[in-house]
Amino acid sequence: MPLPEPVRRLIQLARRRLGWMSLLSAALVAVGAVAAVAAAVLGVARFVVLGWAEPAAATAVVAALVIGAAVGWWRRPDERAAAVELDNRLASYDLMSTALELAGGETSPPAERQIARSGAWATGRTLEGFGPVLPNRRLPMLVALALVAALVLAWAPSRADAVAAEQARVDALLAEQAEALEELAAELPDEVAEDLEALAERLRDAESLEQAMSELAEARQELAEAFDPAALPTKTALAGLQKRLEQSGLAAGATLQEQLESLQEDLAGLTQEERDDLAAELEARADDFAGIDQELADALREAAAAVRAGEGAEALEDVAAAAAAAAQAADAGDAQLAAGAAIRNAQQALADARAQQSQNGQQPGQGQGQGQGQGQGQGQGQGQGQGQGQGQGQGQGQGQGQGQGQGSGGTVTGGNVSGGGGNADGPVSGGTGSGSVPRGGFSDNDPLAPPARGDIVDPIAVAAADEVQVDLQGNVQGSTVGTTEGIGLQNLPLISYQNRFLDYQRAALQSLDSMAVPPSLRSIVSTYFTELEP
Amino acid sequence: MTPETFEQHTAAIVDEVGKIIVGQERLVKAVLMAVLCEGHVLLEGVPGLGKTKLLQTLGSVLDVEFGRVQFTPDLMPADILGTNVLKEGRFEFHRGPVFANLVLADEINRATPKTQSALLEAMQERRVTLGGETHALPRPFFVMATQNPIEMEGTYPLPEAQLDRFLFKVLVEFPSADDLMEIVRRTTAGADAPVNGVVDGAALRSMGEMVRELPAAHHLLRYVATLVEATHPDSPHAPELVKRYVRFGASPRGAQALVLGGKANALLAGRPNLSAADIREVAFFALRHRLVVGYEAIADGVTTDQLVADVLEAFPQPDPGS
Repeated sequence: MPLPEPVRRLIQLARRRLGWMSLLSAALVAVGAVAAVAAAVLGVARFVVLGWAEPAAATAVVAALVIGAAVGWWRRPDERAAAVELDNRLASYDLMSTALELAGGETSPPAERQIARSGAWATGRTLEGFGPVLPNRRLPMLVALALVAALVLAWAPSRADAVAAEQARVDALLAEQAEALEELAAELPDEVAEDLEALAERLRDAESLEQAMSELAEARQELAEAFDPAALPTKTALAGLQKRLEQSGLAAGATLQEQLESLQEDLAGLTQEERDDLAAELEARADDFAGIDQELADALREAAAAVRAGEGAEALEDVAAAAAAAAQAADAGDAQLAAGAAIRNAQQALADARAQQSQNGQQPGQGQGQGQGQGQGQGQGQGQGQGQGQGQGQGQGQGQGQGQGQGSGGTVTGGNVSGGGGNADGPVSGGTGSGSVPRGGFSDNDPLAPPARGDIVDPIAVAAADEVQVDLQGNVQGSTVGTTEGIGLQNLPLISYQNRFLDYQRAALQSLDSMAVPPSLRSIVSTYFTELEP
Repeated sequence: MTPETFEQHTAAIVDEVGKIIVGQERLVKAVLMAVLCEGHVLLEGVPGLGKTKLLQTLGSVLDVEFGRVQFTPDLMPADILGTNVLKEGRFEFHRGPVFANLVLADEINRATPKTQSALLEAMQERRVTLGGETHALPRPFFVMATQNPIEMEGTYPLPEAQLDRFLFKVLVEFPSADDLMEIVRRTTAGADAPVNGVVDGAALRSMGEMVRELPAAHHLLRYVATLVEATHPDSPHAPELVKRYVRFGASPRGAQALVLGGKANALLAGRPNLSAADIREVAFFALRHRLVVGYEAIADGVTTDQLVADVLEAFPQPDPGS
């Protein structure tokens, strides 16, 4: 027995309405549940940096909407369930569901009566009174509440946002430094370049500024261990040899090798007096290389003897070979120095960033100050200080205080806390770091670290200019000014390293007696010069 | 039997009963439903509410053989069922009052359990076995029993097995003031109005068949099963009150009573099929005497009606997914 058309139409209408109800209900429940969880996660993310929280929350809510809607539509009631629901909602005393069940079954008078009665009841009937598509107002309100909570928690600025931004800044800084290291690595020999590239990779992978600084310090330490301490004096001595040969007028050429080759060719045409002068000069230069490159020193002495004896072409060839080897070693040292300088620059940039972090992170009642400086010229100096401050204030919720701090490795002067009693915390500026730090930022006994005091004569710094002023300017009210007086590059090679070293050592030891160097660091300076002593 | 004839018969019965019984429409309807289902009814109420009068009137309205047994403590089973009498050298079975279409068991709880149980076989199997011989009871066969809930001294509460055989247990309520006034007026101004027998046994059986043939959808049978299951304290569907107070839930006869009574209710309302509303309407009649409560319920004053109401509240509608 067929189902009357009005009954079928009404059941289909009910089924469609129930399908939308199921879809909306499931989507709302899913979105509400996920939004509530997202709100909780975003709430936690206000205190703990969870970089993934906001995109994950947004993705989860959208996914919940789609999945909930899909599940709701998939779970929409079938025809029979729709008929039962229709009966329940329209109080039709189960006419529709019973008719649907009887239709297609065995024909009997009661079944026929029932179906006919159902058809009559359904004719012209609509879904009025069936109920709205949204089941109730409470669920949408709860979902809206959860969504609003999640949005507010996502958009409102929080301390974690600042930390995340700082982390992003650090990441960018690390990437920048890594890129700088890689650019330098492209210009350096392979053995140094590989180390720099590996370091750049570690910088990119570093999870914090501290870890990056640790990586840099470690790399710097490894570089220092591999560094040949004679490279720099060798280079200086070679430059001196070249300069002296140039000044003598006996050897022409743009490079030392060319000068030596020219000298070999012209040796036969020299007078005995010129030979003696040349031999004396070679012996003097041999003294320069004593303790630095013994092979070259011996070659020079042998060459001097040979020249004085009227020969020397072969000996000069040996000198050229030894000089070439020394120059190669010095070049390697140059590469290491360049790498060291790059690492040092990276350390400096990271130290600046950390100082900035410290300033940004000042808390009421606590402060930090740091002074840093960098010298100019080829000599470099650096000062670093740290300050800590605490303050108490009084009055109506405002306090004043001055920080008092200590600089690591330096003398730090700090103010006194002013303000009377009272428990209110007041903003306190960071302590003033004013100190001179001989080797700020570098490990002890690091041969790559330049002397920080301007009055300690550095051969490279001396080579830079006749007079170099090293300004160690601290970021926070701290400044150290040092003056370096030395002989300019043009005249440098005329003084032997051994002789000059005594000047260095004397100046350093004198500086140790001054108040500028804290007692705790004096031993480091002393050890440095002891190790350098030829 | 057509629906129109059915409606005419039921209207005639109600009209005739209404000549004697004032108000009590719900009571009359419940008894009529039980009659249409050929089920037994237990009326419970304080004395004077017209329980016996209703059943006597029904016996007159229904043009069927009527038997009445006044239950007393000294009533013996043979007084109900009948006995074998030696006559002219051979035993002859003398039928008792139970051999009638409509048996009024007045104050049934005053008889001893032995006598009460004499009705067990008659009520369930509609036959009597005596002296090795089985005697079929006439059809239709109904037992309409009454009991007084307040005079408990010298009474014997019906055992659960016998209670379960009653299709309905109906509580007779005190009439309203208007009904009471009408009762007084009718009973103090001469003889009762004459009552006519309007439906005979054959018609009753046809009406009963019509009730049974009424369509019942699958989900409604599931609903009934869920309701009955929920009356069992160990059921996962049982509400909290049931779990706490009920010792034993309704039997399958309870489910049968819900469906049959619901069908009768639907037909009396002129509807062509069973509905959830019909089931809910007869739920108290069909289930209240089938729940066995514990001492805690008695101590807390929790009635089986409260428990049935709790079950209905837990399952207000059939599950569309069932």
